[in-house]
Amino acid sequence: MRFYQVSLDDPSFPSLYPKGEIVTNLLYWLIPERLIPRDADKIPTYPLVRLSDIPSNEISFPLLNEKFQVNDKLRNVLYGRRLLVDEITAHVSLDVIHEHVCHGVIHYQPAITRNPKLTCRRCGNDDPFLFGDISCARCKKMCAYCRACLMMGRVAECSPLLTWNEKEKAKEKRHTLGWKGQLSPAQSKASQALVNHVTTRYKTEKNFLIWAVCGAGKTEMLFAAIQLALTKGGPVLVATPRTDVVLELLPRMTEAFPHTVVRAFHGGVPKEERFEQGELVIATTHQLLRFYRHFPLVIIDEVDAFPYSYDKKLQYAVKNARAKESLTVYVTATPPDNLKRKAASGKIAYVKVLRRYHGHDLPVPKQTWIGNWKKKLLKGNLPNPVIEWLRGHIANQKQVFLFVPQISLMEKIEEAVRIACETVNVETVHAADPSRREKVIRFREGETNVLVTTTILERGVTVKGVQVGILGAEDRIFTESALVQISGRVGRSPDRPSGDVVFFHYGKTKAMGQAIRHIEMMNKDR
Amino acid sequence: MSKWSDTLSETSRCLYCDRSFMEEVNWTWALGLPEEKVLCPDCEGKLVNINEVGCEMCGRQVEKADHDFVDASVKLPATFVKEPVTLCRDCAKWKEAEKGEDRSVQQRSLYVYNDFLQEVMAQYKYRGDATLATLFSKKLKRLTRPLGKIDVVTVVPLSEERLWERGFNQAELLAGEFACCDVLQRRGETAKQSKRDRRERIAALQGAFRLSVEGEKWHWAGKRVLIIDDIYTTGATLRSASTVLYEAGAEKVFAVTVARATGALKNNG
Repeated sequence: MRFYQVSLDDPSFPSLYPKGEIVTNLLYWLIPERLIPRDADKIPTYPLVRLSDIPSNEISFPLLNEKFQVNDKLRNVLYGRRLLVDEITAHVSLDVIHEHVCHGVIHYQPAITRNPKLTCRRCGNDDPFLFGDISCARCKKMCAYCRACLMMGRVAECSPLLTWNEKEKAKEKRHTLGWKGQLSPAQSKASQALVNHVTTRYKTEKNFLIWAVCGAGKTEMLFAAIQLALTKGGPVLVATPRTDVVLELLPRMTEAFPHTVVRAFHGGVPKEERFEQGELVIATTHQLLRFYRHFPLVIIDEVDAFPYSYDKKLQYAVKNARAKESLTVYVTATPPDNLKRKAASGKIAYVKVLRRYHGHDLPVPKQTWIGNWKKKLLKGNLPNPVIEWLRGHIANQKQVFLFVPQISLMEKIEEAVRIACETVNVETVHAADPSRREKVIRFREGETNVLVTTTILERGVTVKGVQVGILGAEDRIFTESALVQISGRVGRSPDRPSGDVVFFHYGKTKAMGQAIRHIEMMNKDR
Repeated sequence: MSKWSDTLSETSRCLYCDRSFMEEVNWTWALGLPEEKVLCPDCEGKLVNINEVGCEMCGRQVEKADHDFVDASVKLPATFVKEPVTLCRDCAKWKEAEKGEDRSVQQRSLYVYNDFLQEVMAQYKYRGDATLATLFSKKLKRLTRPLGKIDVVTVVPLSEERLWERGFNQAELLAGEFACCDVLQRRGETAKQSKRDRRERIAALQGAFRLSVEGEKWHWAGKRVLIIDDIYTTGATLRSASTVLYEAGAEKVFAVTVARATGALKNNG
């Protein structure tokens, strides 16, 4: 969109900006082109510009007018966020937004910069392939747009990003912890370490790593620190890579903090609820892009679940979502190498939790060679070791996760399992499966015996007494951290602390060996 | 390590799914006429070409026998023809309603509007990924080759409100390979076509268009006109637009679109 640069003392649009003294270095008013009716008698002769065309040292805004009565609806949407005009005009009209700009409550930023290189300010994308270029109907010019964050509403070169400039006075509110469980010694050690970090006032952006094995009870370790941060008056963000994990965390957090406004944001949240305010926010990483300098405490669950290439995007999103003075906590069972290195060299504070909360060892995976299983599968058969393993567990009334490397093989495998083990309920899930949630629920309730899945269920999903097999563990998709995570699905509940993890493979890989050594090391290292 | 074979194949990135892929080497490369591939083989494979049609007018593809619009035994080549003879029920009905006046629009589409293309079009139109127009613009041009001489190429216009909302006219970008003129204009506001059923669509579009200021200046008699649009569902939009052109005196109106919907896919915009 374009703006008229109207000089400060022009009397022709009295309704479009406040009169009186403005104590600021403001050079001109920016009036959205759309606010001036086409057939107005006085179409301004002022220059019509895009925000991105104004040199950044010339962009200035009026000082915040403390007496100005802000629009509550607008505040609710924009407070703590950085949004596109289109995301806001669904709630309030453009002239209300403009009024707030005139009183210094809302600031604009250009959404795309070309200096030093073409970059999307919202998502940090600077890959030239992921930019498009069109002759834009809004700015009547060639206008670049970001293709990387398109699914969150299009960011174009001429679109302004809006931020809320008003600081909230810290509210005194009591946040009670509804969770009445007992932490294990290892858990409480980590919990205490984290609380200590939250207590010390953070003057800059600080980081903290919690390295905890699968099934260590990570969420419970966080409760004390979250409660403390909430009481200090700041909103808390829990970010995770997957929608499944958001959905799993939401009820647990709501139960743990009964007097706190807990909100979950993920791609599936309906439009009306997408911009609500929460004190404790659980969000997928994409949704982080909508927040701006808001959270003094950010907890990133399962950092390693992001593919390596994603790391930069996550860092960018977190950098923007957290407050200037903030603590970022990384929680993971398998820290990526760069975090491990930082922890070892003392650049980042960390705490290790190497015991599961019930104190038992992690089950160590077994490896079984099954030959060319894909060839066998084409004829509709499963390798014998797999059949025997499945039959054994089904006979013992145990449920089984069967991880497979490719979606395209799932149907064949499902069929083969059904033939091999009669009277068995088999289902398959993968990322694009529309009924994925229901299938996981059915499995959790014990209606399904065998769930054939891709790596989407490798983390965050807890099912009591489940056994795990990986068919084709030699595939590239099963990296060390994926294998460790998958193995961590087993033996999580205290009454069934042991279980079976088998890598069915056609040739051992380095990752398999590393995963087993990783688990053994965790068991030894107390 | 660089192998000699690397010089034969370059990796490209798929414009839709952003995955890297290797371009296949075939004889066109040896002749120096490779066509640049922008989609990876996976995505390319999900696009279904319309090779045979059941109706020579609207270019409706042959469907399973349970569909009563077209005689399923009829299979005709999907190119434009001189005199459309075989008509589907819809087009026959339209013809009857015209009462002798020729207001027909011969229409052809590139692809079947399947689930995949619906996603692609949604990303293109609603999310605003304008670059995706390049997937189709050249192919649309090729599709119109059999038509011979065309005097005017135009697109279905958007209302000002919708144009602001989207930031571009999706049909105009698809017409990127043509010299396109804005001879049509919308009268007032209309709701999104994709949110309506068939009857509502046709009713809503009665008189939805008129000639634009530029269009008024033209001398229309004897002109052969081509309209370009994104999706053909009932043909109501194109009929309404072509009526204006016929009334102005155009001799013949043709149309090409990217996707042909047949109602088999639930249309949820």
